[in-house]
Amino acid sequence: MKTFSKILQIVSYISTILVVGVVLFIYIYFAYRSRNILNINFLLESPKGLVLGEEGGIFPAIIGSVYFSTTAVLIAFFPAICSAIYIKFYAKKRFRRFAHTLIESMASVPSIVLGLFSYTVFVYRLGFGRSIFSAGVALAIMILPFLERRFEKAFDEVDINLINASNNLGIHKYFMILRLVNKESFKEIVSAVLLCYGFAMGALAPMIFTGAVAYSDVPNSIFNPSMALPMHLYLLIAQGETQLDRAYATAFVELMLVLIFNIFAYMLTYKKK
Amino acid sequence: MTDIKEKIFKNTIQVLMVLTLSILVFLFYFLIREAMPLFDYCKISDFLFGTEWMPVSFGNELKFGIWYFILGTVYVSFIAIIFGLVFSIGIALFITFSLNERLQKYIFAILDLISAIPSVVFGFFGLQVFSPIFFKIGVKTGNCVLLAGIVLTIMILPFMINSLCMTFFKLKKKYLIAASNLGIDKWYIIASIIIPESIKSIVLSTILANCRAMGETMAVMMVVGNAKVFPHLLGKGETIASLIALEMGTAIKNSPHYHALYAAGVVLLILTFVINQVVRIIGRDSE
Repeated sequence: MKTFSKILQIVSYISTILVVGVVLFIYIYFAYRSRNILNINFLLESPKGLVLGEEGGIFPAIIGSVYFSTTAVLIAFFPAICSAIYIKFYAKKRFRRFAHTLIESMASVPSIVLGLFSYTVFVYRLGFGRSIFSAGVALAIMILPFLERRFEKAFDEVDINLINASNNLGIHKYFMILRLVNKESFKEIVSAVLLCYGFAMGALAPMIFTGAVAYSDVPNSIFNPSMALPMHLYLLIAQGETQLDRAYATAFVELMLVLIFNIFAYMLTYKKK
Repeated sequence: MTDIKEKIFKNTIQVLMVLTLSILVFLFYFLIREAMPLFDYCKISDFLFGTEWMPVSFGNELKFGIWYFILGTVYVSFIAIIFGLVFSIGIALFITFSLNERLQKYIFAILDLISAIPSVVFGFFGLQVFSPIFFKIGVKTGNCVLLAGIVLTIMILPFMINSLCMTFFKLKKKYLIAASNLGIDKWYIIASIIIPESIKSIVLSTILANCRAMGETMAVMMVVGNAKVFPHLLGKGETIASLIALEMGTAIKNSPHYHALYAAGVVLLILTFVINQVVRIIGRDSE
């Protein structure tokens, strides 16, 4: 037992250092490799060149990604928050358990399957074609369970005494929820949305055949297809050695976007406790 | 007046909630609907256990066997959870027992960051950093099942660690104060009580993480080699998810190929869904 405890101790230190190290390494390495390419023109120009992406920048891809994520969050937000409110404040214990099971199962659905779903229903049957909307739906279903769970967690942290007091005063539930709960957990809700926004921005599997294309102008409607950062990155990588620097730069932009969203989300909830 | 408002409010959220929960039903319905026509062309057993995948006819017979893809999926995710298990137990112990609350928050923030890093970036990272190493060892092109497993390990860590930490926090509350009052070494307690007590939840969270790993598409697809062969540790393989992602763009609507890809999607969906439910049922008994 003595040696086992020693081994555990060592494993725990090493693995923590290793994982934190990998994250740091990814950021530093990508920053280092993209140092020659990354400048303001790269961010603000359209891709050009004989082989697409050889010259120019990634501006349409960035804006496209913003479109995709915004659509996804807008679609997912209300279903998620309504389910969270219902499950937390109205549901009986048995139903709550049932709903949790369903939501966990939703969270485990592979994202490529969501792409298939959106492809048959929105792209094909409903005739939206490859568009930001079709991909947005798939992304929305992907982030919905995560949003729901984080909302519920946010509601859990509201002081139970406040809720009990308002119930005892005979205040209507809807009033209590709209005024008290949403105010108390506003920061957590925003933070959850930010996290999922970043999450949706990085996902490629749901949009790879439902909305993302190799080249387009800056999108002007959500019923058109668009470029997206992960798709652009994937295509650059597929072109092999010649485009490596640009791929690194694109990946670094994506990493920074994710980092920014995470930092904002973190700052919003950090001060509370 | 307020009664009406209350009613409207409750009904609205009820409708949206039902809609949310019924998404799963829609998913199954539409996928199965698109998959069914395949079985006019081939038998279910040929589809599941067949080893040849010839979706487009060049004068030859069409064959839709996804057995190797199923094996590839299981193999890659299995490697990922084996590595993941060692790391996640280590890190979860470290977070729970060696850090104060402030540092814990930082580590959890880093874990959130890992789960937010796009999977394409992980794939790219694996391709650029690990793949050359494997190439030097003698793996052709450097892409192999083991590499995919390693990349996948990093990706499922946040999920595994989060669920393990929940268990460990509970046990810490239960035992650690008493133990430290008795003057017993912390790591001795961890090895002798906390780990044995949490074996069951470790196993369950590992299986759930396995579900996650099976569905991961892009990162795996970029480093696994994508060859339709029996997967070997240092050889190429292909997973169901990468099969769909690679071929969906070229499949003609309503062709057997198209239906076969949907059927593969259904297999993947059912695989993850069933595992998930089984784990949940076992986990519920122990509560």
